[in-house]
Formats: sequence, C-alpha cells, structure tokens
Amino acid sequence: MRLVAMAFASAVAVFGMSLPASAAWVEHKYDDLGVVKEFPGEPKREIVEYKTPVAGTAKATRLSMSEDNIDYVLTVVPLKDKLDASASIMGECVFMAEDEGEPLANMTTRIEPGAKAVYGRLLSVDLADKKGRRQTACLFTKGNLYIVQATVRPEHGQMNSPLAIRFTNSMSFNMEGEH
Amino acid sequence: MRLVPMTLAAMTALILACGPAAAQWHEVVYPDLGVGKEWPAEPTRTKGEYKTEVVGKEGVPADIFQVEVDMIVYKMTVADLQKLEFVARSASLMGECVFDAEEAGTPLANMTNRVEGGINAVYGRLVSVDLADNKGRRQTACLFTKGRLYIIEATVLPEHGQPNSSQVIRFTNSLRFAIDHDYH
Repeated sequence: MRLVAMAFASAVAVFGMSLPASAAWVEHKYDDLGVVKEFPGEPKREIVEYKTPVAGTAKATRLSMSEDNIDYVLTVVPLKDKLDASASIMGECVFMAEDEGEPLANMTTRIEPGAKAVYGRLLSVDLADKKGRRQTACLFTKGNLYIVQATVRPEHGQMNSPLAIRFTNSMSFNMEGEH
Repeated sequence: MRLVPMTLAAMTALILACGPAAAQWHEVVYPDLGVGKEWPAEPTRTKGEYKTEVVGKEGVPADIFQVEVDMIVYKMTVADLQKLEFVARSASLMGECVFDAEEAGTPLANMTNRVEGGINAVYGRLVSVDLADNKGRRQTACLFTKGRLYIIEATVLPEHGQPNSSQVIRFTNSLRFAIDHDYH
C-alpha cells in the first residue's frame, strides 16, 4: 500500500514537473499589435518607454513572463511616424542587442515566406557579469518594431535551452491565419 | 648622358606604378541618389533593375556603378524604393539584401554597419563571404535610407592574391548620406 502511494506520488511529481514546460505553451493573438505570439503561459502586459537615438521616444507594449528561470519578453514599439527610418531602427535594435554581451550567434530570421516575408535578425549573447544568455530577435513591420527576447538565467542550468529558440521563433504577422 | 634618361624613365615608371592606388581614390557625390561615395577610379554608371521576392516580380529601377581595379570589382547598386509600400517594408528589404549576401557563399563575418551617428545614424549590415566555386571573397554592405536601398560590394577576385585586401573595407565603409555639407 505504501509502495503504491509512493509510486503514485512519484508519478504525480514527474507529471507535475514535465507538464508546465510542454503543455502550457499557448498562442496569443494580439489584434491591436498585429502579431500572434506563443508564450509558455499568460504574460503580463504593461506600457513602457522605448527610447533610443534613432527611434526617439515611444510608448511601447511589453508582454513578459518568467518560468523556470527563463525570462520571456515581447516588446512592440509603435513607430508609424518613423517608417522612413525603420530599417535603421531595426539595425539599431540589433546593435543594442549585440552590445549587451559576448556575441555567440547572429543570423537572419524570417517570418512568413515569399513576397510577404518579414526579414529580421536573430542573435544570441552571453550577458555581461554572468547574468545569463539572451537570444533577441528584432523585426519591423506594420509600422511596429518587434523585439523578442528570451533570457536564460544561470540558475536555469541549460544555457542552450531549446525553449529560448522556441520563443524567439514562434510568432506570426499573418493575423488571418492563412498558411 | 644615357644614365639620366634611364633614371628619369625608371622614376616615371615608379611614380606611375605607385601613383594610381594611392592617388585615385576620390569621393563622388551623387545628389540625385542622396549619397557620397569614394571610388578608386571613375566607375561606369548604368540603369538596371532590382528584383527580389520582397520587391516583387515587377522590380524597381536601379542605378548601378562599377569599376574594376587590380582584380577587385567595386560595385554600388542604388535601388529606387521610394514608394510608400516599399518604405513601409524597408527593414525587410534590407534584411533580404543581407540574406542574399549571406547566401552568396561561406560566411566569414557579419556585423553592424553604421553611417553617420546619433539621431541621423543609418544602421545597416556588413557581410563578408567566400564566394562559391572559388570565385573570390566578397564584402557587402546593405543600407536603406531616403527611400533607397544601397548595396555596396567589393569582390576580391582570386587573381588578386590577397583576399583580405584593405581596399575592400575602405570601399564598403567610405560613404555618407549627409551630402549637404563638405566631408570632414
């Protein structure tokens, strides 16, 4: 009897440990932000200030959550009045992400294919002062700058967590859901 | 008496041999294209077309400048993308330019490129690849501003013998978009 209870308790513990990471990823559709984004749960939504030399100052929407020592953040900056500088604004976003630490990877990222493709940049750095590893994607479309960040803190224990790349790549600008 | 002309001829030959590489770099300002660009010699200018998946099947007009000096091909393409539909997608157009440059060979370097500073900074990307089929080494800069995509390429042909020629980085970095005042 005691063995059964222990086995049951163990099974619950294993199930409980593995469930959140795999089952809690949810796709959220943000019509007002023009993006569909996966999060490993329900993110907190707040308004923050985005301020850079090229972009200037703008009120941005920040969606964020933390789980298992990984911080997931999507920042959407409305910059419709800066379309003529949007390529530079994206480049500035990449530069700032590169400047946060020791570069590890830097590659093209693309959302949707063909003529409607949105090209951006995906990079990974080891943050200064051993604060972890951050993967950042910068994209600009629909008059918005999208900054997608997953920061794996040292406490997570697996710096190359696949959850980071899952987060930075799981998004769509196709709001109609055509694939 | 015979020694003098020979010395003179040798000196002339030496000056001619040394002179072009150092002395012929000069800036050409293109007011119609909003850019000032340094060249090692006078480039040819032709009208062409820039056509990619994101630009679309119709393509857009482009001005193409090119000159070859000492087995290095220097090229600048300025694609006219001033229509609002393109300006709104300029980040993707620049990103596609970078992607195409990366795809041209084996990547060696990939870094942020910036022309001018502060609030007027134009951020782009600089890519270096070894071209497929041993066709040499190419450095490409992609920048978008003023409704135009600027693609700056320097290709070191294998015959040049020095793939990391300093002339290349000089070419891809010597440009300015603030052309309403003298160069400092």
